[in-house]
Amino acid sequence: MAIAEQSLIHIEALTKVFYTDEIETHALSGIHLNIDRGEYVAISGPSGCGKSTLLSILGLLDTPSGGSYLLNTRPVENLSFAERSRIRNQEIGFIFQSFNLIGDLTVYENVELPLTYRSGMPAAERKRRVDESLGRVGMAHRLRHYPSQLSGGQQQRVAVARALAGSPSILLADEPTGNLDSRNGEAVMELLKELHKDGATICMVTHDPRFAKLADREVHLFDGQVVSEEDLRRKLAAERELLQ
Amino acid sequence: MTNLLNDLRYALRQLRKSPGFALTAILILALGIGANAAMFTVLNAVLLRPLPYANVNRLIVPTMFDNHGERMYGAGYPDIAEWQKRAHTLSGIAYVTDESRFMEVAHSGESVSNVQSSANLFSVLGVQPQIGRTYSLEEQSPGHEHVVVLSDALWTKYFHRNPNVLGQTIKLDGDSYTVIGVMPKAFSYPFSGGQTRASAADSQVWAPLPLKPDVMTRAGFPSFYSLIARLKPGVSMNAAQADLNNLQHTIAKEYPAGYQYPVPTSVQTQSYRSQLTRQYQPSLLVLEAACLMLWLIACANVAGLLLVRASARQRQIAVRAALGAGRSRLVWQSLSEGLLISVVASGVGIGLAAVALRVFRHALLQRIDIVRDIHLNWPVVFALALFAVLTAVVCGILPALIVSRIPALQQGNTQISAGRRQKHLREGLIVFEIALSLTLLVACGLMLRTLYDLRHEPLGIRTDHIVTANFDIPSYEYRNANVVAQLYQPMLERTRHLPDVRAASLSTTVPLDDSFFVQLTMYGKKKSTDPRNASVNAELGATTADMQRVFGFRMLQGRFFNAQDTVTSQPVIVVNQAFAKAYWPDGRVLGQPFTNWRTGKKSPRAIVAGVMDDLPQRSLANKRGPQVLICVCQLEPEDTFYDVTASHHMQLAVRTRENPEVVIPEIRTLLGQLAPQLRGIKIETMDQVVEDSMGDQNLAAHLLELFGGTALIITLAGLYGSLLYAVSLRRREMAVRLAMGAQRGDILKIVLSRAAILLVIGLAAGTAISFATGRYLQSYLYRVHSGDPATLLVACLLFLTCGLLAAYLPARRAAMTEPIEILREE
Ligand SMILES: Nc1ncnc2c1ncn2[C@@H]1O[C@H](COP(=O)(O)OP(=O)(O)OP(=O)(O)O)[C@@H](O)[C@H]1O
Ligand SMILES: [Mg+2]
Repeated sequence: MAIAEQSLIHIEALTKVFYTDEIETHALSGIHLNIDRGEYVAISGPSGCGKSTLLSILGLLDTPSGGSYLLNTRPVENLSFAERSRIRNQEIGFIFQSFNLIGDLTVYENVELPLTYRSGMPAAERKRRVDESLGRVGMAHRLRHYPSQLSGGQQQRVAVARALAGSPSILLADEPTGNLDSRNGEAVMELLKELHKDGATICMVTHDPRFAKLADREVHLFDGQVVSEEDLRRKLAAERELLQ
Repeated sequence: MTNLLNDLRYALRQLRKSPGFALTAILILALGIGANAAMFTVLNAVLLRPLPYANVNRLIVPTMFDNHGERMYGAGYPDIAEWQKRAHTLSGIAYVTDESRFMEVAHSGESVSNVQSSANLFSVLGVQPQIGRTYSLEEQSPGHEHVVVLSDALWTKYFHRNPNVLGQTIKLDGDSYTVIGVMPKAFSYPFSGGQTRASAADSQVWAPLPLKPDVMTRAGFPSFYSLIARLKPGVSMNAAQADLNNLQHTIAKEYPAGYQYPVPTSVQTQSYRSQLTRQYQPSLLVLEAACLMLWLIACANVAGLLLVRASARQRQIAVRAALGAGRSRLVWQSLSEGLLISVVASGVGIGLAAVALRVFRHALLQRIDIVRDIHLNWPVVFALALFAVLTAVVCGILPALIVSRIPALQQGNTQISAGRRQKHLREGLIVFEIALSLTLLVACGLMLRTLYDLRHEPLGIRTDHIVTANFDIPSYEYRNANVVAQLYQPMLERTRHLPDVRAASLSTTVPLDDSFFVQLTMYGKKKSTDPRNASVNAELGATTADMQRVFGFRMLQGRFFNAQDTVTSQPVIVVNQAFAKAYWPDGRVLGQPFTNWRTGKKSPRAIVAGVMDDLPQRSLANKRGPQVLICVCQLEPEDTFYDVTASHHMQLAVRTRENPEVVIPEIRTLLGQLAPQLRGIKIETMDQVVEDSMGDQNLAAHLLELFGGTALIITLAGLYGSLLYAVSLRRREMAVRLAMGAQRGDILKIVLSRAAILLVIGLAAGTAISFATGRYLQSYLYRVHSGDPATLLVACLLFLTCGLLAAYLPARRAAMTEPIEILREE
């Protein structure tokens, strides 16, 4: 237990309930999860099982309804908006399915963006980091381009560079290949694997079993709960039967 | 065609679907159009109104200038006669003089304007009498001049339009005249569209100007007449001016050697219409410019709104284009919405204009005395219809261009950006609005400062507890009498004994009164080479000793008039400081002999008894010029100045103990007892007179406040709306920034700094426009310069503050974004 609490991410009995029009949706119901430094975790499960919800809570974009969440041994479930922003900025790197690059900013400026929210970082240091992370994703030659001038795969690589620029403790990726064709998807997966090899901690949501296999560990979610792989298969089969 | 109608119907449906947008756009355009409709009505009434003469544009007014370049107040008969013979650019030239006389018909009568003219006046103007005839050249020979032509209004009032008026006799100042004709309705000359001071505008009679021997030679002091001439067909005004100028050059050389008065040497011509409107033209054009700015702001604003709608419909439009809609069709569709809005807005605008005209009618008619009434009419409505179409085009053209450029359907985008071109267009419109609004605000600020300065101008007199009464003397009744002894002395005596009255004085002129003015020109006092010393133009006034007690002004040297100044004592004058400086530059003023008190060898000379402070004259903003005062109580009918001062117009000024309003009825009763004609005269407090003398500035300030305020509100609404829209387009970007760790303050800063940039660019442009256009406003201003930095600074700061407040709401909305909610919408 003591060791678990030393993990980078330690969540216990985490729940999330959405209330809409008097309907309660239990998106997460009692999740236990540990992610250690340097680990590469893939989260999979059927649509609507709560993967994205879990990832947003991990990334401090959302707050849980119950349970505890220690990030770097620090409880984060009840922090203020400003405090959560600061932690997001320093500890978390997001990679979105739809890239979410800002069209009015150049590649360079997009990557620099998280660094500009870090007070007191000198411009030279920012430049070094931007150059480095663009170098790592192989996009150093496109600094002055605007996102609309890049292919989808290139855009996602820039988005990865942006997530890396702030040297976060963990990269959170929600279906990073969802908007890419298979060749570009594989290239991005290759990139994540390389980053992991260099020591990055990654937590990725994916549908694709091929990509899930690339991770150190797979976490299966069903109906807001972590289940074992066999369990998941059984439950899916049962569900299919029910539908027929 | 049916397609186009269909598109209009479609546009109507679109508008019904978004009533908020439609209402905003209509209201904003209605403000812009309404202001212009109102202003255009005024312009039309003043500058473009039809004048009651044939072919008005060929009527010109020549003005003479003497050898010092000083403008002369008319021309003498000998010169005019030469022109009539020798000018080949004119088909006719008439000369005129007019004065107020008392007309009696049977047992009633009134004060009328009696115009005396050359017989050809009516042919020059190209107007025939409606009955009877006008006078002939023979009737200008002395002894035959007692014939008269009546105005339609007088014919109606005294003869009930009975044609047997011809041959009847009326009296003017007691002399008998035979009526020989009646001019058509609406005819007047000199043109008087509004109410003049002395008499109702329509009360004019025309009689031949008798050519007495002394008028026809260059012997004595010349009698000056006003001129009106008609250009020959095909001759330009410049050609006429050159012709007359040459001619006058030659004529000037023919003047007898030793001629002791200024010789007219050059001529300038002006069209009669522009002479009538010249005085109002600059101020009206300034206000019209302000209205046009307001309209442009409104158009820019609505263009911005339409642009947003066009962007929102881009996809739908791309589909239409893909289905084969031609470019012109797409443009028309985009324009049709603007057209609908603009047509409805014009309707509302006319309503607003009617209201505005009603509110400002009184003030306008008071300031512009050549128009009698101002109301919306067909030419204005027609102009407005054109204006509505223009508005639609101006508003709709940008969105239409955007629409016509959609190349093809674009697939769903994966990055976050609003079309950059459209964003720049939208922001450009906002900057444009800010610039023009600032210009209006600065103009408004300058007017307010002017008003403030005028209100705080040291007058040099006290204005509290003073009542003034302004009246014309029924001079024919006192023709063979001494009006001073018979009317003025008793009036003063009895007024003084009213219980609430501290002091009472009579003056031909009081400060800030512009109803009566006698210009005194002192020619060639010294044999000086400096032309400025050759003549001094001064205002001549007659007053009584108590004027100083009533108005409480300072004497700089010597004394004011007192009770010892009578007809038997040494005649004295008091001059103001400006006169003393101009006429006796060496400073030795007191005791200086001035001018002969009477004609004839034995006449005593008046001497200077004192120098008084320069008092405000015709209006607060006017420069305080030289002034010479004589004492009413020293005047007798045979004195030189008696006729020009004491026998026309007087003002009774009274200092009261208590509230001056209380004394007004008592004075009215008293004056009525003294002379029945004085019963209905205007009596007001001096404070009111001071307020009225700021009328022009007041009106301009109020109008500019209205325009500036409206412009500010429209612009702020535009800024707010545009930022709100921009923020809604950038929701995703803001969410990503927040996810990357931006604080709420960072987001606030992004939006506010964008607003600040737009504001600063707009304000800079506005400052440039203000500087460039300021000189047109200068004639309105007093003391403050049109480029006044303090006013500009205050206006800019006000704008910046309001602008940032307007930007704060959208900025806050952006900052309060919950990133997860937006990021979830993948
Ligand atoms: N804001 C919300 N309000 C209400 N219900 C929500 C909200 N967000 C998610 N849910 C519900 O919570 C559940 C989990 O959603 P989540 O987006 O985490 O699923 P997911 O595993 O990411 O699915 P997918 O694979 O389709 O992306 C779903 O049933 C969803 O309808
Ligand atoms: Mg999901």
